[in-house]
Amino acid sequence: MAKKINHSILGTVILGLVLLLFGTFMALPMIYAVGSAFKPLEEIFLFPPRLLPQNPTFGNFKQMQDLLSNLWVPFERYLFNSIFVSLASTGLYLVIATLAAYPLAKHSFPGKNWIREIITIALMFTASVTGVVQYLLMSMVGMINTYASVILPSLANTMGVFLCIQYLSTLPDSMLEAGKVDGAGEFRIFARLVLPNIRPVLFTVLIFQFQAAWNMAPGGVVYSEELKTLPLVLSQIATAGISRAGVGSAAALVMMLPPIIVFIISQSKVMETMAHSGIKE
Amino acid sequence: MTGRLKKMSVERNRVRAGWLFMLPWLIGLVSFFIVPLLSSLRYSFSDVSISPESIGLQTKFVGLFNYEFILLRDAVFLRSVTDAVLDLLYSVPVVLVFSIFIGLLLNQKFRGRAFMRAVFFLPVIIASGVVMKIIQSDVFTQNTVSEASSLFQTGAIEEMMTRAGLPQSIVSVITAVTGGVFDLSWKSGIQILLFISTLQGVPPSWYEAASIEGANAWDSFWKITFPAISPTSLLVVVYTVIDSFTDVSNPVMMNMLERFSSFYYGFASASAMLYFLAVMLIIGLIFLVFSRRVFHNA
Repeated sequence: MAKKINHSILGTVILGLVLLLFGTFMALPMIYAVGSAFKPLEEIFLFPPRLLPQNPTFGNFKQMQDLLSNLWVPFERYLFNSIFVSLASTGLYLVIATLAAYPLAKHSFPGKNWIREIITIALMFTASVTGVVQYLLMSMVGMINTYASVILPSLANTMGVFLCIQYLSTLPDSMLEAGKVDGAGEFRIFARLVLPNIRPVLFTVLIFQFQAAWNMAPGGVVYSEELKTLPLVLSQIATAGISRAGVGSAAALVMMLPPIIVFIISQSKVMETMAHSGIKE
Repeated sequence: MTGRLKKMSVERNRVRAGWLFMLPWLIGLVSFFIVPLLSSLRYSFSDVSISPESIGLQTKFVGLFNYEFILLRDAVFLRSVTDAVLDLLYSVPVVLVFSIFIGLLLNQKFRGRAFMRAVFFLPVIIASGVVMKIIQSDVFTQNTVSEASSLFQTGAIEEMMTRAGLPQSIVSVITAVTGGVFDLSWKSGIQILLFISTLQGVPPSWYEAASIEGANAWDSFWKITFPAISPTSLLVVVYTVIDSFTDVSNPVMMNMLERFSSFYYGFASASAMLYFLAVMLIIGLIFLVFSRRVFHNA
């Protein structure tokens, strides 16, 4: 017995070390990116590269701020655009995706399997294939260069619907039956029984969609400066040559923050999803 | 009789409500996926040009010309698809084993578990999008290599090994392998989450029962854990295949994007169709080989 305990302590230590090793692996580029944002320009080009700055500086951020304050359109405008587009896309998508997922997971009707097949196929096609025609369609209805041209395509995403369906099908039918016996209409069942019970997966979808929406750089569909989003303007000022490398790393750090904040806020909920989704009955 | 009728109409109302619920998303799916996909299919059989007079594209039907050209005369396409398929042969098993392993570890109870899970999930948040583009093109690599692993390839590790007297050829193999493993482990975030979620669903009482019966950790892994996670393994394999095929840093994807952006829509669409046909074939093959075994176990 004593031997067994020793064994498990040794095992724990080894497992801990392995986790630490791979965890460092995962975190290194992050640390490197954060470090680079505070490096003076000459250190960025140091070879071999160093993880952390030797003489940390806020110069990159200051240069970024200078560049941004010289823009034709005020920085706040880009920030507003990004926040507006991300929130609209995420909020609308959560509603649309959950509404669609409920019947696809819990009803039986002709055509259901077809739609589910199409979802799987759509997961494989990237925007590059459909982008051109999307553009043509939007230009036909006069949607180019509006917020809608940025937001609407992101709402046709299939990943969130897919995740919601997977999660919903693990919920017991009996729970929804109870609502039906009580005479609740379909919308009531959806709002009162389905939504509260899939809350964990909602947070997962929220993180995915926010992350995707925040990073959207709708170069083709929007050409007015007043409608452009942060990723576009930041990559513009960051990729204008070697002397902008410092600004680039500062910009990367700025862009990284909001998704991380959203992740941290919903993180506990995501892990709850993971804890939950396995429970069948 | 009336009861049955009533039941039928209730059922019909349910179905109608269901379609109503799906409507907003279906409109999006049709207009932003199905229509573009079908047009793409049409372009793949056409010579596409941009006309200045009218909005839109001029298409002329050319039959299988684009496909013929790509398969018979394009030296790059077939080779890069083959390379991508060969890459899968090692990347999928590595990702699978790595994510099972980490998933098992992160399923243990220990202090700081939430933090460690977050660490392993963060790459998912960061790896896609502008952040990675900026990091890769400007900071990481000084515009030479565009893989996060270059941090290790250029770094101290290589120098240390060379100083230790290892021959250069072995050193470069080792750094390439660690670089590859690093890249793959950075792409395993979702897969790890999928495994954790599955493992959480295994009732602890099964393990207790097994250990009372005298099973050791090795036995309970193969008799309990492995059957429990095997359906998820199939999901993870499929996800990993799709993920690596649709990754924009994949040479085939890069080639395709380039053609789209230089307005060779006909060729680009045809190569996209061929490419995704290949992906579907591989996924179909995986299902054929594994699904019966997997679901049998479950």
